[in-house]
Amino acid sequence: MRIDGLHIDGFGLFHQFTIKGISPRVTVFLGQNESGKSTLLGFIRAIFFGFPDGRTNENPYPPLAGGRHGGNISLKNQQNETYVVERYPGHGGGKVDVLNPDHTHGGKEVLTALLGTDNRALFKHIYAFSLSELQYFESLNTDSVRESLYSAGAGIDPKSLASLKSMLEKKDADLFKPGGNRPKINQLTSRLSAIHREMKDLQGAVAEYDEIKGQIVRFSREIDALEDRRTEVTLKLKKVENLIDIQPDWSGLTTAQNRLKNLEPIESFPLQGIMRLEGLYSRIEALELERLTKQEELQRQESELPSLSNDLDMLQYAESIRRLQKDQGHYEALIKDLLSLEQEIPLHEQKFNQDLTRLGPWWTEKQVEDFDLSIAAREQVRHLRERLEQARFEAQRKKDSLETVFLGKREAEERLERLDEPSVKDHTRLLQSKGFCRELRDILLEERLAKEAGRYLDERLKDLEEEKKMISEIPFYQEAKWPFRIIMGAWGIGVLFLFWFGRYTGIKWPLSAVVGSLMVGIALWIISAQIIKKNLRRNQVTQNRSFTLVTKIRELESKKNEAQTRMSQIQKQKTSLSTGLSLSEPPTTVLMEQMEQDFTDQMSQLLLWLDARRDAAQTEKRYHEAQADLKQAESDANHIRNAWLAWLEERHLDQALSPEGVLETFSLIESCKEQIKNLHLLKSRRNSLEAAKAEYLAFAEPLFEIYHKKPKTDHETLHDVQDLIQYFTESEKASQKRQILLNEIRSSRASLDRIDEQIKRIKKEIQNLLSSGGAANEDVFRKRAQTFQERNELMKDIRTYEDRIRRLSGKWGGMKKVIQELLIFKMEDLEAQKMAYEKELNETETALEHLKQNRAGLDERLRQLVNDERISLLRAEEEGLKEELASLSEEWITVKLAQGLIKMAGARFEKERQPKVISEAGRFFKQLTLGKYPSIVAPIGEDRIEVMCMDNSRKEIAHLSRGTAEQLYLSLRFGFIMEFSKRSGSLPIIMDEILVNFDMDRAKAAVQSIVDLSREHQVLYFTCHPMTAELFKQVDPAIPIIEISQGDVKRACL
Amino acid sequence: MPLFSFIHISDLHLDSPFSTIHQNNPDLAHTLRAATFEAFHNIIEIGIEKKIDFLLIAGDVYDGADRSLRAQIKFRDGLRKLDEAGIHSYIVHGNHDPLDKWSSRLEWPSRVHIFSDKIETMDAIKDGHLLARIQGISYATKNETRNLARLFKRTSSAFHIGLLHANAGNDTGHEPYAPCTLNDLIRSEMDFWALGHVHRRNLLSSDHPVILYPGNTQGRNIRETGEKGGYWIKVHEDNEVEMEFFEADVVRWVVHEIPINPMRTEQDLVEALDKACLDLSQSQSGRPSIVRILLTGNGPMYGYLSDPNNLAGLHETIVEMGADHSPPVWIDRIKLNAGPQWDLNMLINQQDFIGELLRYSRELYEAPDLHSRFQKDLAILFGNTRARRYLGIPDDRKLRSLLKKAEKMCLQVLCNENTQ
Repeated sequence: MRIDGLHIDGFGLFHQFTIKGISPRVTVFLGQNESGKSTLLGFIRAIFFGFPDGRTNENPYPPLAGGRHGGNISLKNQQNETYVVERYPGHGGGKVDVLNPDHTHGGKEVLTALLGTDNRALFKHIYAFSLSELQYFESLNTDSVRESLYSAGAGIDPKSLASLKSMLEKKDADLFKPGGNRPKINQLTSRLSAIHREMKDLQGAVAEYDEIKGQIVRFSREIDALEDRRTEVTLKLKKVENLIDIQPDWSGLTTAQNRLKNLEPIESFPLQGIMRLEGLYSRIEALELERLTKQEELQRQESELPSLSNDLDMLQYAESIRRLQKDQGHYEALIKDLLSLEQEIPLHEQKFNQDLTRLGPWWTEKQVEDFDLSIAAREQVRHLRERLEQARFEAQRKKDSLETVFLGKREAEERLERLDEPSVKDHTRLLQSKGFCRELRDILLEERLAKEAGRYLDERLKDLEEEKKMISEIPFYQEAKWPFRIIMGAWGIGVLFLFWFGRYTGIKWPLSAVVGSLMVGIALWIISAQIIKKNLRRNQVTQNRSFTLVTKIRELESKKNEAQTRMSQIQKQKTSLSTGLSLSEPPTTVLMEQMEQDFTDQMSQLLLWLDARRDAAQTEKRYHEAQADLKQAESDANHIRNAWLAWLEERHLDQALSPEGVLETFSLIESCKEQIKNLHLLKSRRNSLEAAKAEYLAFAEPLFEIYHKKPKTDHETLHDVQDLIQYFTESEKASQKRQILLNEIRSSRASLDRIDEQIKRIKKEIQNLLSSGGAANEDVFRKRAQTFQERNELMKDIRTYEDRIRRLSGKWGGMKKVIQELLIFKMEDLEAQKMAYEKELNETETALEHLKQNRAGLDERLRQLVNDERISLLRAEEEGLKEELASLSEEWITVKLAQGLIKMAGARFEKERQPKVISEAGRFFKQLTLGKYPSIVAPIGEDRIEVMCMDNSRKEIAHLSRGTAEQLYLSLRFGFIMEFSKRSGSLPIIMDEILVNFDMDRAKAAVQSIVDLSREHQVLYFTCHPMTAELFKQVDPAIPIIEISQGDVKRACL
Repeated sequence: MPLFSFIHISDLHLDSPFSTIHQNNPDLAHTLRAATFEAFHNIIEIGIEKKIDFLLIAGDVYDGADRSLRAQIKFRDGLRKLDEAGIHSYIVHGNHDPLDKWSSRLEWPSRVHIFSDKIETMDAIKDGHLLARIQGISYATKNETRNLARLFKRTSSAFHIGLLHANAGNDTGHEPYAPCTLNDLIRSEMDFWALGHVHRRNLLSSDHPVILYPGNTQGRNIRETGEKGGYWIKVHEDNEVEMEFFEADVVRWVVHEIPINPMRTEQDLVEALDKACLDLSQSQSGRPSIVRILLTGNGPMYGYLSDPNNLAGLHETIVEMGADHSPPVWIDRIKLNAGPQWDLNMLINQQDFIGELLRYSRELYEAPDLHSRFQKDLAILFGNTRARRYLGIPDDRKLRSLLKKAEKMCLQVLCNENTQ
């Protein structure tokens, strides 16, 4: 596969840049720095393997000169079929499009098949490399050289394998190290061991649980026994305490029974006798006190009664005086209203008279009341007012319109006067004349062209005739064969004679002469045959040309006749049109243009004059119409005004009044009407008030006479009425109080009688009480009462003691048994028993508490054991760690497997690939170093390369000069290319300025190697040194040199 | 209307440790510590609510020989509640809780019967009527290798239940304790085999006899995914059995796969994970879930995800997102099972180092002696005294899957750097 050409749409400084027909062998691209050589290398890499993305530090070469970033490369395969690979940037380096030879489209798979690989690094490091890639080896140490050698052969980035190994080693170290502490697996196993130990310690919990459970059972039994004993002692203690408690009651009971025996027996006595006696005496005292108070009160009442005397006559007029009092307020208001009306009515009358005067001296109240103020009357006024205003406005508008029309009329007349009256007023005639001018001008132009065509035809005919004549003068070649045959025959006889003479005489020279003659003859025959052939061909050409000329001459003569016919027609048209235009002289193009312009001007002038005349006539007509309109409007206005005057007269209104004045008069009349109505109302009210006043006075008059009141004014009347009312009120109150006092006196007398009765009844009750107590007097009664009470209390105490003893002895065998025991034990014995029991009980409690505490401690421990989550937590942690350990161990195995894969695959790759690569590389290296280093050696099983010197000694890479090392690396690449191409076909090799560190001789040798390589692989070599290009030319002058300069290209000739 | 009903559960593994993410999450740690107890509590409540006649527990009540007292007490308390409701409990012990580790001091309610290490027959009686005859046997020690199923024999026409902790049919996922075949179980002429030991529920036979593994009651790790609980068994006339599974677990384990093929950006990843959290939160019957996200497929985001720091960052983000949901979704981890977008078929045919590496990897993958080839390398870790106590030597199947991972690890560096 090779590159045939490329087209860059936009890439770096290249834009619409195309190279075609690139040599299948070596092509040198020569250009100064920054001329675009590396850009071309980048372009080819980008089209083949995708545009670099932001993750790499490769230059993406953005399209600085414009165009779309990308382009295409034309490739040719071994069958010389063309594929066009096109790519523009996009996802994953940009989508590639391959145009197949059959014009179908393919993608990456076609390109990969064409290139034999899709390994960008392989291409970059082996096939398309610059000095920097070549020099990269220089900085590597010995181990890395081996990696690089792989990568040279392996088609991978020299750093990738190293970084992969480094990464795996790091992971390995992070994960596990025998005897280590820090790696993750080591840490995990340590922790797991610790957990294991902790769990072992904790796993005795079950046994402990069982043991504690046994202890708890034992403690519980002891506690139960002690609790039983405690119950028993407690019972005994309680019994002794009970006997001790009962002892005082028993003592009290015996004492009470003895005292009861010594008291006088009184079977019955009035219940609460003393208290009842005391109560009856108290009641008598209270009644005595009350009688005294009542007597004093009666005396006071009887003394007050005479002072309450009054005018009882006054009360007989009570109804009349109350009515007078009721209407008193109404009368006062009435007096005030009357006074106010007397002041108000004259004021209203004055105002009304003033308004009447404003209407006019002849206006009366009657006229005002009769005047029509209806809505219809007002509407009539408003309607007439609108009509008057409309008529006035219309008349004014017509007047303004007349003035405008007059101004327009005067302007049109002035414009008409300013224009000259045209001589020709027929527009059609002018238009026709102008058409004749245009036609004549076209005819004149056609005439001129026809004349020139005729002239051309004449000249062409003349030339053809001359050529025909010349051809006819060329002699026709006639083949004359006989003289030639005679000469050749004589020559043949001479030769035969010489042959015979030579054979006959034995002389050798005639034979040589014969051979020479034969050869001369043959040569002569060939030359003559060529001359004849040439002459015959010339004859044929002459004949053909002659025939062509005849045909062309006929065509031209025919055209000439047609031109002449057309010329005569033009003359006729010209004459006819000249006549139409009345021309006195022969028409010319200039004259026709001038005449056409004149006709155009006349037509414009005529159109302007006609417009002005039409405008003047139209404005005159409009002026007359406006005058008529104005007259009509003024007549309408007068008619409406007369109607208004008639309306005023009909209503006896002043003729000078305007509609607005009439509307104002309407308002005034309406006001007057309102005032008349108000005055009537006020007077009517005054009359009704005066009637009410008279009625009140008529009612009060008889009372005034009885009490000798003679009021003269309204104020005095009001004062007298007030006096009468006050006197009446006082008399009424005194009457009521006297009645009350009489009632009270009657009540006091009744109370005194009732108190006396009660005292008598109580004294009788006291006597009865003493008798029922078996006593004759109060002292005996009191003594018997005391004895009776003491007996009762002793009996009650006896019952209480007995009850308590019975209750307390219920649990202990009953009262009888307890009393028997009390009779046996003394108090001292009981106290001693109690103390003994208390002591035993305390001891038991202490023992119990101790046992319970122990048991609670064990319970707590049991609870702790039950709820102990430590084992759970440890197991959870252990489980988690185990899982993590499993995961890490898998990771560790993966790392180990990856290391094993690389190691084994590397060994195999070295073994299988390296010898062939090395031997091929050695061949190139020998050529490049001019035989100084005959071969390269890669010791088996060792990670290094050595070069063999002429004296069979070996040198390591580190001992080679920079240039020689670069030659070695170049040789290794060439070696690989030769090896790789055996499997995957050939790829173009692109080298960018790789010979700069080579001396002249080795550079020439390198160029020779490159040229040799190009027999199987297309080579594109980029350089900025003309010397390098010259070297290529020296090795093979046919090598094309393409000069690149700032995005342009040309083939250079060195 | 059934003649009687009972609940069949097994493998409670009370107080079982949960191996996961909870170390830094106190809420989750608390929930998980209580999860097995809560699940058991739920079963007790369901039993009382459904008014069952008895409860069958087919072994592995506790998680290990070092069972915690807390577990034993809580177990007893649960059974006491059933006892108070008049419900009997029949229990056998399995390899995780053999009788030799049983606490002798624990006092069991009167309606609880724990089968001994000799075959026993118990009659389940209600109102004077025989409901069923239950035969069972517990493990005396952990390593019970006898075929215990052969000890079970039908003795009458009553409904016979075999209660056993055993590996029936040689389930390869579980240890072969008390191994037996399906024929052994059928030959015993039981009507219902209430088995335990296998943690995923499995109906080995649906009729004559019914042979049932109810699975464990609460998933405890990512291998125990899905709904967990027990079976409510109703026995009708003619010994017809009706089975109904009920959920009792409180936390659910889920493995959720998300293909990375269509994803182009980190945002796409985050959005896909967020959506997954939402879906998971809504699909676990109101339970919180612990989810392992498996990123699968091939896509351009593989490069980003293959960086452990990026994966850790993504995990951190999604943990916060999941915890915000109600019920919460706790992310156990995000596991990268995805691959890059490389064309391995093309790479393997390349005549370069990568091609060589892939060819060698494939050769190893097919090699029957894979383990021995790497034995020396692996011995560094697996021969270590301390590490081997906790690590099992990986089998060839595991090694092959890790070999694929190693291959990706190499390609990730070699291809990525070479395509840039």
